[in-house]
Amino acid sequence: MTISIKLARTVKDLLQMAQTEYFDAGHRTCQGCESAMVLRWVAKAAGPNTIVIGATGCMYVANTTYYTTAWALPWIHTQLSGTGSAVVGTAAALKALMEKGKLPNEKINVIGICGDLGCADAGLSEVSNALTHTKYNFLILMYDNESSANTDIQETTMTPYGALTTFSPSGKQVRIMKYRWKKNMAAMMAVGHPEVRYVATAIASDPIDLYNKVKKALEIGGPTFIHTLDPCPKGWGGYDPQVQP
Amino acid sequence: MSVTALESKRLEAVLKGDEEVEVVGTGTDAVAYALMLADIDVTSAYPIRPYGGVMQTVARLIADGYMKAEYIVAAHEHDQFEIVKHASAVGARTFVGSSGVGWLLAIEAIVAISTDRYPVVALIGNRALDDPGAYGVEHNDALMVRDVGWLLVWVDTAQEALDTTLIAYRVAEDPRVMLPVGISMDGAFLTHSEHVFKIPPKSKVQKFLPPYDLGNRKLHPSNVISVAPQVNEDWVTEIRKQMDEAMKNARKVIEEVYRDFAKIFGRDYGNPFVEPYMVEDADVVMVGMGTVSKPIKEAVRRLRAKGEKVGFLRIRWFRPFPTDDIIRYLSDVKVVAVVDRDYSFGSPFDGGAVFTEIRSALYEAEHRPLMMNFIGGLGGREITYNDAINMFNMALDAARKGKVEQRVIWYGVRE
Amino acid sequence: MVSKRSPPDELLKFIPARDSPYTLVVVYGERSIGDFWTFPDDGTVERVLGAIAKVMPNILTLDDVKKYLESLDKPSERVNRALEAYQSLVKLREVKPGEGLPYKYEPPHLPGWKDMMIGGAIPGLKPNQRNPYFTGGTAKHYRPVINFDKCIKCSLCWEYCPDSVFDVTPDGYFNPALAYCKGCGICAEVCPVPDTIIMVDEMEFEDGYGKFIDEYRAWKENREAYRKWFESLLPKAQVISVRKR
Repeated sequence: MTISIKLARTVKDLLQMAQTEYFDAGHRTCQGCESAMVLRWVAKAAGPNTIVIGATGCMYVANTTYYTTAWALPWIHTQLSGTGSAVVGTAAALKALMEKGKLPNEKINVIGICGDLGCADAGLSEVSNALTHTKYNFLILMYDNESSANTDIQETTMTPYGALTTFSPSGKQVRIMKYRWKKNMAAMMAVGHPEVRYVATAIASDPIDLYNKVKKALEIGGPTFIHTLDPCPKGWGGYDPQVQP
Repeated sequence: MSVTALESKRLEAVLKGDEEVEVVGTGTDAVAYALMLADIDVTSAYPIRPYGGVMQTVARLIADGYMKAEYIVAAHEHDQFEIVKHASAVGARTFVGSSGVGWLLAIEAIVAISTDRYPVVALIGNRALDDPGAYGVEHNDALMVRDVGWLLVWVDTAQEALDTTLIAYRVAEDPRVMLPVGISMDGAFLTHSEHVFKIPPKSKVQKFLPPYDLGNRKLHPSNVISVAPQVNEDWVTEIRKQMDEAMKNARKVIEEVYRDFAKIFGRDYGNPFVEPYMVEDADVVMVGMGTVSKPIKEAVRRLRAKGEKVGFLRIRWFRPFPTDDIIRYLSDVKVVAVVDRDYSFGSPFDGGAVFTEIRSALYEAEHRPLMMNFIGGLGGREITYNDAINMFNMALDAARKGKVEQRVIWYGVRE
Repeated sequence: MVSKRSPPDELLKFIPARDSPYTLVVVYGERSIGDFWTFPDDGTVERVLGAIAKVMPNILTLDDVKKYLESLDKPSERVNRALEAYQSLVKLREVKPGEGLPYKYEPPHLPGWKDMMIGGAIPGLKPNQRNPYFTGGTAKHYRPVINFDKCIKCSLCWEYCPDSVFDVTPDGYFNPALAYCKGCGICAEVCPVPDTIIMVDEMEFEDGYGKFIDEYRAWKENREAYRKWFESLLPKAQVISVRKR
């Protein structure tokens, strides 16, 4: 597939192409939150003609406090497992309203943002259902900090084997409580959904790559999925930002 | 499966002409035709009996081009209700529905629809809750949301189902209300039985039902808002108070809309909230919701013929609750007997939900009648004409004695 | 509790006056956010108990504290922390009513239900508009100080800031909006030029609490004074770009 859009190649390109902030300062994320960086670059790549849907998770609780917001894009909350449904509902409504002439016909990006708990655990069936809807254009972004970071770092199916969390502490009798291996979400989404148009993994430490992948997903259209791995300063005790993957 | 030649002729007539057309169909068909006339934009389906028929008819109407809407088959009911919630947020008129445990699976999204104030209209084909799995009617599924800002209405006939669907959109989308409406329809008795009803012409519906307008809450790049950010105790009371006010406004709006409906379509439902049947001068009034009205009305007619002063009051709108009408029609009778097709275990006097609410409403009345409660018809068990006569006899007996010996009666339960 | 090493009289300059007398106590110890998830079990609780035993033995004696702490895990470590506070408690200061910063608490005016949008909706931001109601800058322990003389305008600090703190100046520098900076230090970590972005302990500064200085403007107004100020801070910096301390 050929992509006609301009992609960024250097950090200077980013400065030129994406200086406007649509997810701006004044959110309650922790110091050095990488998920905040992900959202910042997703918002920049998407641009102003975008509707953002945020599922419950730390990027919901931290980014929006009632009567204040960090979003310069239309944003709406959806329930923990609702991301797949919400993007489909939003995209379907835009399609219907534009076809009936009730809304001006234009390209509006629909982005659903969910954490690993909301996407890989609670919302998996909705996300999976959404990725079969080839009629609609949307991007589902899973920010994966490998835990339920908002609720005190509990294990999810995306927590790696052996990791210490508040639900999987190491004890005198049971050394490894988290005995399950991490799911491979990107592969599952790509292999299990024959009509999914774009699946990618990304990390905010490479903002050029992240920016380009979001741009590509939105340009290609149809159901698309991006999995970002986000080191969590609160949950990944003692991780050094310099040695992020 | 597709639309038949006869149906096609009739649908063409209502879509293009100015006259209403009489058809035969089920209660769910009637709702589907109303959705066609209301020009819904997005709907989401998931199979469960008995509501499911409406989605099958809608699918047929879309497939044959009689209506145009995005028809999304969901992964489960929670998905279904989230889909319409978000479609409604960007300005689409939406329809959704479920039954029994399906409705309960969606309850998280259902509550979010009302707290986010989206005027979604839902059909609840009333069905008993699992376990054990049961198809039959019971009202507990819809009653699960009686406290969370859904307007709840029970319909009795296919015609009323069609009309109420149109009315529901108009009420829900009124800027003074902006709350979702749940239309309850007795499973099997109404969802699957065939009725004669009239489909009004689309030209009249367009006069009755203005386009859906979310105003400054429409989620669109031209209107940058954040909807439902995380909230703390500084705000929740105010947000709930807004809903309280909207629910109270709904009483006035419902009256206006029924008046308008009568003017445009020529069908006058009289009192929009309750349907009084021979309640003037009655000593004993039976109260119920939904299709239980059929056998009870027949019993009223026969007993009246014998000179017994009995009547029936069918509650149409359960939320907002018609407190004033309950007081007006019931406070002066000797015995009020409420037929509950539901239960509320451990409630005051261990009665049903409707009984408890009517009792509460009558507390403020100048005269308070004696009250009896029949819990019956659960899980789809039929309440027959003979049952209604029996119930009336028990209530008449209490009226004569001036006291109620057994307040709550599980009618017909096997010992 | 205030995390500050100053003597009591210094502290009283910014502690609001009260109507009743109280005792101001300074306990020396490591910086901590007691029991916050990031630093669980960092000794704050033990130190506070030791301090209470010293100041108000009528409420809690040192023996009580020891008895309680010895019932927990790692008893000797915990008791040592309590003792540390008990012994190192240097300053006690009786504060009279009215002493301190003249301060009148004015609760923020919140709109009533009739003035709020329904459905939990609120107005969004404009592009490049930071959230005016929530800054978050007081959360930081360290502050980035930028040596604009050495800046090569590579833009990495701007790219990597999770809080969108850096404003692009007309001449291409990156000026941190300190009111929104949470002090994560990512900018100093990614800065490729030695001694250009340094993270300095907040306790070194007199400004703060929403009145942060504008570093770029200070540099523009008097480069020589700014250079001297920067050099005075350099030895105190915790994180220094490229060169690790």
